[in-house]
Amino acid sequence: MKRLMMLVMVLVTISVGASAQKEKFKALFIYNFTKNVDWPAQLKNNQFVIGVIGNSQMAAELQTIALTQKVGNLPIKVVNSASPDELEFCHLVFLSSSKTAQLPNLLGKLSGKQTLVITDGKNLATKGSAISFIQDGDKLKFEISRRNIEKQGLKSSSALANLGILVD
Amino acid sequence: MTINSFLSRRWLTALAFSASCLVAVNAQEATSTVSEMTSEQIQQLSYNDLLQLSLEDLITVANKFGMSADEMLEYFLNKDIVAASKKAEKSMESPLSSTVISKEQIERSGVTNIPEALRLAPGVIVREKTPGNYDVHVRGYDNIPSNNILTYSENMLTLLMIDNRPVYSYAFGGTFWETLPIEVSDVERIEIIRGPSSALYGPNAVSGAINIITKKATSKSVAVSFDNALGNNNTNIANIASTFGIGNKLLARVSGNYQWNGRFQNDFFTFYDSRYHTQDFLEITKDKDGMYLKENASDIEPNPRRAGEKFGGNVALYYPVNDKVNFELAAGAQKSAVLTSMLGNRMVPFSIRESQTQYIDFKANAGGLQAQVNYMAGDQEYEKMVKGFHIDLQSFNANLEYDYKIQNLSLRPGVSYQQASYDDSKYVNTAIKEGYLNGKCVLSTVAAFMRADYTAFDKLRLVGAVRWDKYNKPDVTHMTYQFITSYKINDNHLVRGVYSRANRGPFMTDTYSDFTWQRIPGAFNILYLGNENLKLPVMDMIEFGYRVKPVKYIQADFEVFQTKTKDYSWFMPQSIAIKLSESGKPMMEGIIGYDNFDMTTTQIGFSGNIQIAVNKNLTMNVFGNIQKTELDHFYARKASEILEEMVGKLQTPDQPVNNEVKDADFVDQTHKSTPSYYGGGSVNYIFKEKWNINTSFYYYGKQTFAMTFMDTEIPAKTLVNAKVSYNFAKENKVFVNVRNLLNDDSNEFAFADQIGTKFFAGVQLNF
Repeated sequence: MKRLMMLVMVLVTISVGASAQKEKFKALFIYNFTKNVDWPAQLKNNQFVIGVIGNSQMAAELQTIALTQKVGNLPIKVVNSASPDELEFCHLVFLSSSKTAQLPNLLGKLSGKQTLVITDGKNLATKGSAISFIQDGDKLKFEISRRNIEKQGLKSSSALANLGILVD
Repeated sequence: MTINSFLSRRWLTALAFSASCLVAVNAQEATSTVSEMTSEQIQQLSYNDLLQLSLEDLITVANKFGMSADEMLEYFLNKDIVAASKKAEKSMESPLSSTVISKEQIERSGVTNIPEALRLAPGVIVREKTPGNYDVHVRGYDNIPSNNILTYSENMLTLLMIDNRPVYSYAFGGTFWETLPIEVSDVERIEIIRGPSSALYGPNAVSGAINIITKKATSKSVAVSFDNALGNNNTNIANIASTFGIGNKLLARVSGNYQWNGRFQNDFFTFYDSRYHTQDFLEITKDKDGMYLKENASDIEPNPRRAGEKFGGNVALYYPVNDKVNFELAAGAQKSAVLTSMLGNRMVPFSIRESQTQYIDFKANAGGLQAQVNYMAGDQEYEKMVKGFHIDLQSFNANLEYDYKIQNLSLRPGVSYQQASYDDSKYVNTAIKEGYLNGKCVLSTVAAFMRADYTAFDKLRLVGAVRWDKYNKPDVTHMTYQFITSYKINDNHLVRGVYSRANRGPFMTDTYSDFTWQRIPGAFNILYLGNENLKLPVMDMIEFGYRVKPVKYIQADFEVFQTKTKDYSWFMPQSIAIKLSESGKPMMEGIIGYDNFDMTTTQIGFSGNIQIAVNKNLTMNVFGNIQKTELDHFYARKASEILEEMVGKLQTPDQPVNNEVKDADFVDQTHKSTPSYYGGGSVNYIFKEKWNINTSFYYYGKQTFAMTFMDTEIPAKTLVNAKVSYNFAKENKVFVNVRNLLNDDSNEFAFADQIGTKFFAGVQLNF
């Protein structure tokens, strides 16, 4: 009976796996990118919204950062599996590697809406994303497209371009 | 005892506690010179540090953090330790004699509870009294004074803490391990400091201090872990925990644990004929005074096959207000019943001890300011078979420290207040002094302390700590100190030295005992009397240590030490007289009281610990202690002999007989009640990333336990253990675990149970 109760407790609880080192670092990078972008003076609402598509682990890591950090003076809100309507309000959208196929559609929806689009995979900055993570052996690197950032109505710091792999 | 009853009031109380909050600050300066830092230094960066880095530095860190094989080895060999000097540092750098047991070591080794986990560290003597119930001593000093009551077998000289919250018992001293609300599944790591360190931690950190750091939630995502092991003798061990976020910022971890440990036998040792007998025999047999050996035992202790049963539940909340401000709140409850020997009744030394307690612990950090306040309450019955040892207890601790840095000098002043209040009046007839206290008794300490830590040229480190404790009983102030120096010859060699003094705190029985034991009702009463002016035991130590990494795969740690301890307290027959009872009949009345003797113990010892990480998949360690303890000016007479002698001399009512302490009764001798060598080791092998194979061993030399009724020899023993687990999906595992593979079923403690081979099979699930 005692064991049965414990098993029931396990089964009724929803769960997510343990955090991986790589996701933790990507989340740290995403937060760091927000410090290297000039956001419009008038932001869309009173919080900085990060949308995550297709990676609940990443959403969890970003939520951990949101507990203590702000972007400018704004608290951070993380929206996991953001719906098309919610995307409107995002300042930054992370598209996971498994959802790369959605990139053209996503760019269409966010065109000119001052949203930083970050992807996870090679050559994606040339296909419209502002920044894309790439794994080079043990090293985590990122591609950056200044043109795509400006196209979205944003400006990036020179450090961002200097430290990433500039694709244009 | 059922889960339902446990989950009811206490558990809800613990959950309700968790609703409150406060504020704290945690300031850590991010460094701007990451590119110049070693991998080791980078790994010391906190998560907050990482958040504050520039993009360039973050890239550097990410690349160094790639967890290359070498860095994995470094992580295994050189763990973080906080307890050693109250700030996080690598164990290679720790200036004190210290060891960290990680949660990975605990899980892989298959230890089934916290005291058994201490067998993974050097300098700790761990013996199993009955299955699942342990005696734990740091560097020995057990059974001093010998030839006395069984209580002196307890470790009264080591401070145990959970997240810096003291959890030792104020009753007789010692730690009731089964009353810890947490289990191994709740442990993040265990930090062990060997040697006197009450200047850093307060009273009772005499032979050492053990700090158990518990797991906390680190992310808002929901996660659940569950493990269950079923073993022979109907043993059942189960743990469950869940971490999750609440609202925007609150992080929570909720956990529960349950253990039922079965015995290998159903009989008990008795002093009646120095043999083991079943409960049936003990219930119907009378001693020479016509008293039953264990009257009504089957009503009071109905299951002679049960070694122990325990439940625990905990809630830990973490609330970061921002990157500078955070606070923590933990609360929990436990209920336990174990067969153990702390008091030992007159004829049968092992009996049931029951406990149910609740606690709440609050922590805050603010710009280097750290505050901690906690409260524990409950009731404990130390020995079910003897009336008079059931009490309500409360303890309260408050601690405030401030960390202040001026370049290479770090200062840490602080103040502390501790109070324990024990009351047995609810359970006994105080008019006839049926309880050992017969009312409410309070022990308290007010303390101030200062710690200074100075590093010169990145190589020479000087640490000084001093603490003043003002006790209410005895009405004295004790100053304790630690002077520590370490010199880092280079990254691979460190030499260190320690000179320190620590003292034990007062306990309830020593101080306040006021118990009338009706030894033979109507014919012979014995009065147990405390002493409010007892001197408190004090230990001085000098120690030298050397740490070396001869190659990057090996870290070794060696230490030699000498300690001198004085002002032990003694529970001794003082006088006997003939008095008139209430009915007017003459009866004997003896007085046994607490007093100090001018004895000094000197211990010299050597300890070594070698850790080897052959590669990421094969790690091993081996450690051991050799030591010798000498008693100088030891009062060697057995308490029972003194009492008998005084009874023999008693002739007339108007001439009481006092115990005459003669010079000839004092001897110098080698103390044989603690093993002169002990240690252990382990090998862990990860095969194809799915299998984990762990073998470990633990050994100790023979000892002679001497108490008032008799001496008994504990033979040397080597325990070999093995655990094999298979990772069948993500972090989900099945395992088999065998403890004491060689099936040496000798008893590990005086008058205790046989401890044979334990087999377990189980699952460990993570969602």
